[in-house]
Amino acid sequence: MHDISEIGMKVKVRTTLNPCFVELSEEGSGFCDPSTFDKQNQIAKFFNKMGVIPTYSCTPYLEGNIPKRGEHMAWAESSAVLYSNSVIGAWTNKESGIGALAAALIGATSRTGVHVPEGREPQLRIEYGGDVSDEVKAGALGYAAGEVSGDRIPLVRSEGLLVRDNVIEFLAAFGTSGGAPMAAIEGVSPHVQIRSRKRLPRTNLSDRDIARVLEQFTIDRPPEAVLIGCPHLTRISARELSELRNRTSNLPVYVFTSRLTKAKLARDNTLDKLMKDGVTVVADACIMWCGLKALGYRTVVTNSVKGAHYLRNQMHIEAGLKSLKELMREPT
Amino acid sequence: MKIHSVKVVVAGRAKGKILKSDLPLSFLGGVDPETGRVMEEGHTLRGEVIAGMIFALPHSKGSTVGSYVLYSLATHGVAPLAILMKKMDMVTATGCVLGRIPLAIVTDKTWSSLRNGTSAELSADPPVLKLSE
Repeated sequence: MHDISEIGMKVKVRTTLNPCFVELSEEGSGFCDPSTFDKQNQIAKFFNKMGVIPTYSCTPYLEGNIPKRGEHMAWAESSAVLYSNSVIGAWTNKESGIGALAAALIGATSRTGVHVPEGREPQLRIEYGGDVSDEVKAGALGYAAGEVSGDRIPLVRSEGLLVRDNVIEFLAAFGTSGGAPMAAIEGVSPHVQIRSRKRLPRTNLSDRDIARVLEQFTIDRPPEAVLIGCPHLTRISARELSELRNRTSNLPVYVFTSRLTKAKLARDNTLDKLMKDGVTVVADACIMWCGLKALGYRTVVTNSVKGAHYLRNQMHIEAGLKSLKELMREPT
Repeated sequence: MKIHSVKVVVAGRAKGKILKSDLPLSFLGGVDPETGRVMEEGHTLRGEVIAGMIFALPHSKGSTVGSYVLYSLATHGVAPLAILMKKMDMVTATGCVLGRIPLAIVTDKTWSSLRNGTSAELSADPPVLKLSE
C-alpha cells in the first residue's frame, strides 16, 4: 500500500472504500486502542493518495457509488456484491479487497464468473412459502438458501421478499453461508435468464429450516447491548428505529452506518432523536467494531443474521437475534 | 502413487497429507489466523488445524476478507502447504497469491478420490497431483 501510493499510482475508475474497524473521528478514537487507530489512519492516507473516495461504507449501492445496470465492476464486500448482481443487475464477482484495488488501479478485471452471461444463470430453484415480513426472518431464509446453494446461483421464489431492507438482510446472510456472488429473486432481480433446457433441481425450504437457522443463534445469558447495522443501517431503517426507540429497550444501543448516511440523518434530525434516546451512532466501522472489545461485551443481540454469524465466529461474542420491532418493544 | 492432472492457479510445490473438508468454509471467522485452527461453529472440521496440510476445500463461502486471513496464516507460519479446490474463486486465489500458497483446481473425479491422511504431492510443472494409494 505504501509503495503503490508512493509511486503515485491512481485509481482509474470511481473507487470507494469498505468499512473499517473504527470511526475515523476524534469521538471514534476513544473506542479503539491508539496503535490500531493510527494504523487505520495511515491506511486512509495511502488510499487518499491513490484517489480513493473515503466512504467507508458496505452499502455504497445506496449512497456514494451507485452502480448502473449492466456495468462491470470489481467489488469486495460480499453483501454489496450480492446486492449489485441480484437487485441492480450490475456485474461483479466477489473480489478480495486487494483484488478490487488492483482492478481499480488498472481499470480492468478478469472476464470470469458472473462477468459472462452464462455465469449468471441460476442452477437451482429455491422456494419458500412462509413469512418473511421482518429482517430476521429474511436473513434466516438467506442463510438457509446459502447453505442449500453452496457455490451455485439459485432462483429464489418467496413472495413476501420484496421490502428493500429485508432483501438486503436476505442477501447479506446468503453471502455468509453460501459462495455464489448472486441470487436471482423472482420479482426483484432484473434480467433473469435461464437458457438451460434442463429443469432446475428444486428445493423447498420450510419454517423448520428457518427455525433451524435461528436455533444456531440462541444466547444463554441476558444480552448486554443491542447492535444494529449489518450491513450498514439504511436511512429508512434508521428512521424506523428512531420511532420505535420511544417505546424503548433499556439496553445500550449501537448503530453502524456509513458517514454519508450519518450526515444525512443529521440533516433530517433523525440523528438528534437517536442520540437523545441514548443510541450511539458509529460511522465508518463495521459491526465487528473495535469498541466491542474495549467495552467488554460478551453477549449481544442484533437483527442481522450475517452480523450474528461473524460476531460469534470471528469476535467470539455470543450474539442472539431479534428484529428491530422485537428489540425495541420488549424490555430485554 | 496415482497421478491426477490439475489446473494450477498459484504455482508451487507441496508434499504432505491431505485434510479434506466436505463443507465450504469462510476463512474469515472460519480459521484462526494465528494458529490455523478451524473455528466455525458447527463446521465438520472445527478444531482441526489446516497448517502444514494439503487442504482440500470444495469451494469458499462468506466474507471477501478471507484473502487477508490466508495472508495472515502465511505470515504466522501456519498456512496450509497447498489448497486444492473443486471450484476457483477470486477471494481464495488472491489470498493464495499474497500468502504464496500453491493453489490447484481438481476434477470431480479427483475430488472424490481425496481422503483424509493420504500422502500427496502437488507440482505445477507438470501440473499434477500424486496421491498415494
